[in-house]
Amino acid sequence: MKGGLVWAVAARDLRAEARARVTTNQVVPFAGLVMVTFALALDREEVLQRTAGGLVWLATTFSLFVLVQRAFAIETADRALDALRVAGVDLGRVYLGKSIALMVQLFVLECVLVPVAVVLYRVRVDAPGAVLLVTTMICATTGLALVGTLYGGLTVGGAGRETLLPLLVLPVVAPVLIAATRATESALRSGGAAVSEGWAWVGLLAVFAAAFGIAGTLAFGALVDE
Amino acid sequence: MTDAAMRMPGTTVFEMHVFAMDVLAMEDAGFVLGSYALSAVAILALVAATLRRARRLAPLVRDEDKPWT
Amino acid sequence: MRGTGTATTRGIGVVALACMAWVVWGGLVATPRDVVQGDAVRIMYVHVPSAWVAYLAFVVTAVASAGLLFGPRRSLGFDRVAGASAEVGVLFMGLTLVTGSLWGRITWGEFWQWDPRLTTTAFLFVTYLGYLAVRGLDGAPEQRARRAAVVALLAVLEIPLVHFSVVLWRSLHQRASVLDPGGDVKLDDLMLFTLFVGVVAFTCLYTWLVLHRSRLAALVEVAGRGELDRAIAARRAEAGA
Repeated sequence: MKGGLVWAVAARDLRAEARARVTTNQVVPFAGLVMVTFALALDREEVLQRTAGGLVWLATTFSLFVLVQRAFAIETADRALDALRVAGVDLGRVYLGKSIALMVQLFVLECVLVPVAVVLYRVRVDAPGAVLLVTTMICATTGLALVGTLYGGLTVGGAGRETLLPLLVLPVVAPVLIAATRATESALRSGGAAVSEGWAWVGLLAVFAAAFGIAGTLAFGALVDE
Repeated sequence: MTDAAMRMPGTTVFEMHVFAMDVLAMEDAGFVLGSYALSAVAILALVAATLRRARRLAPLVRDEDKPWT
Repeated sequence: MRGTGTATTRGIGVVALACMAWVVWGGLVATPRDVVQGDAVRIMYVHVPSAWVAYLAFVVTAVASAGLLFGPRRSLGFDRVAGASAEVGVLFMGLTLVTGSLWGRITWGEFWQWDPRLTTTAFLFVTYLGYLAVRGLDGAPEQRARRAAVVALLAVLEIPLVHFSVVLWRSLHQRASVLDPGGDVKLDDLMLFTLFVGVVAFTCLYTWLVLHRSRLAALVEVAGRGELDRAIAARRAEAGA
């Protein structure tokens, strides 16, 4: 029964998404468009091929901001968070539930972006690289979702708060960007890096996710308190 | 560095002028002096703004409410 | 009528001024040029103390935030110190980045290098801008203080992670060591002394500023409440008349 609330919150968020289809209808196209825009801005094929890993994670990070706003818009719409808090519910569990839902949405997004990168930026993936790639996606997405949900609670509520989200989140997820990009480059063999190096970076991603999983569970309640 | 600079107390205006030219003549004087100047300006600006605001607010508050006095 | 100054702050101020005078004299004139860098090394006397204070401010904000959240008394004084330290810290972080950049331009030929220390300081700067923005959000005083304190402690978690990642990242680019403009400088006694005086001067300045600004924050809060009380009294008077 202990984990029940976590999964209940996650399921509720995902059901809301399934009904509204914001991720599939708006965010995925947005992210795809960002990938295309990168090609326009960066122009040269060698550059795109070299930086493909980084571009995927950049597009994912930009989409994170949109998804976080959405995840908390659900809350303010019917004041659900307030109701939960008043009922004495452990907000840490709510945090984990929302993070899981966000993680699923981000993962779905990345599953679209990686093939887009393969097509647009002309990179290849082989078997060992694919294992590394999927593991990287899981670990990095966890970190991104945990941080996004944590600061998202702070920046929802109007009155000029939404613009604060990128400012707060980007410095914190910098390690995820660094590690995920290096690992993805190893997986795509685009930087001349070996696959084995990528696994070291995955380790960093795992540590990051664990650290913020714990910190976020403890801190979320204080940040959301109104 | 000139002897004039070494004898600061009682230095004449001319000697101080020569001394100042010495300082300006150092390599990369612009960057070095710029760093010092920028630091001074930034710090003084914050100090001035703090004091000014305090001066404006202090009359509005009774002394009993100022625990540091 | 008392302002935010006390005997203590006046004393600290005097020491700060005296030490700063020495730094300017020592840094610009009395100390010798470096064998390799020439006069560029003089920037060190403002850059290094600046960096020291920037990190000191970060630590103080973190400790004050922890004091607010976990301390026995949970006084809002901790919050005021945390905020004041952050405001002053941001100034010195900015100065560190600019002076470091100017120094680097002379020694490395570039205004910026992605070396771990400089990059981490840049992240620290932006993180603190975010922290100050969070402090500016509306809410009840205890709420805002708690919220800001949590954000500050999250920064304590974030900054080492960022630094570690950047160190690993840059080690891939054949530059494992920290790119320090002062790395090869041989410090003679006078240079070392001037540097030390600089650290003392900047620390005194920092302390002076944080004391004044946290007292200023207290004034702002009381004055704000006072205004509210007067407004309520005025309404009552109107209603009664």
